[in-house]
Amino acid sequence: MLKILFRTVMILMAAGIVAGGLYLYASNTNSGMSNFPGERGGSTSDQVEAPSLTNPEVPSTGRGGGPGGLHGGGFEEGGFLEGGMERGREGGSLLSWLGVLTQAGKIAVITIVIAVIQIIVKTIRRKHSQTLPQSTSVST
Amino acid sequence: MNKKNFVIDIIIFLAFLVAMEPNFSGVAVHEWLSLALAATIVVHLLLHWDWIITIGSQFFKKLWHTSRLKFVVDILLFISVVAIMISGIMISRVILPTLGVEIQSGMAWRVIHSTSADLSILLLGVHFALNWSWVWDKCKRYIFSPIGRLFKHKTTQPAIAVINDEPGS
Repeated sequence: MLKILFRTVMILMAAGIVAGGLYLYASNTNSGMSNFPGERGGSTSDQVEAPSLTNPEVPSTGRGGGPGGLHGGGFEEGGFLEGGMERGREGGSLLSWLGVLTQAGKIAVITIVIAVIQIIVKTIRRKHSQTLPQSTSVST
Repeated sequence: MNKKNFVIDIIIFLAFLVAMEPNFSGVAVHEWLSLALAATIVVHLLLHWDWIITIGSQFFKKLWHTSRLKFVVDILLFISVVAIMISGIMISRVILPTLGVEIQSGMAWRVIHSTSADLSILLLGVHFALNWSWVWDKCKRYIFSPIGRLFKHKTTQPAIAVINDEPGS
């Protein structure tokens, strides 16, 4: 029991290291993004014009119309980064089965390609090992 | 042990497929299922702990070995899955509000989430291919053989029935 607990802690620690690295990366990137127009924390004139929670009357110049432009709804819901997630909020449409099948298909294609490469490599190695003793016997 | 591993692997694979398609499941199921998947992956790692330690300790001793490639792919897959989970929590719209937590998520988390999701599909395919012989062996033992035996049993049953129905028997 103690062993399992220790191993679980080790796995979580490894995950924590990755998470920490990601957090540093994301926080740096986000602070870099805040200089873009419309992003929270930005210092451009666009941000002043963008509507905020304190001043909702000011019209938005961002595409999504939410507060803060780029981050706070600057991209449309269901846009390219969301992958149309909003459309599937309820989920369960019959057509969305195709999405699951597509993911399975992608994995299957990658698996088959690598399996074929493995078979080819094995065949080449086998042929190579078959020809190698013959050549040595000829040379001797 | 092998059967347990196989069942857990199938569950992880199916849950991963469903979680990768939020249009199919909806955002709430997508998030909660992914969180459950994280716990299942920890169990998967615990079940393969001895292999991880053995290969990890011999990692720099023997170059160009299939296990070494598997180890590298598995580490990349682990990093990718952790990236999906963490970024998913950071951009969560169901789990965190349910728990009453508010986080200022940025654009970078969304980019990390989608990129690591795409990468994990690729790595899962490689992981699957590198362990193909084990998967195929277990599929034969626990899926195809029982189904085959079921059909054999069904085809032999009517013959017995006919023999029993013969007059004078």
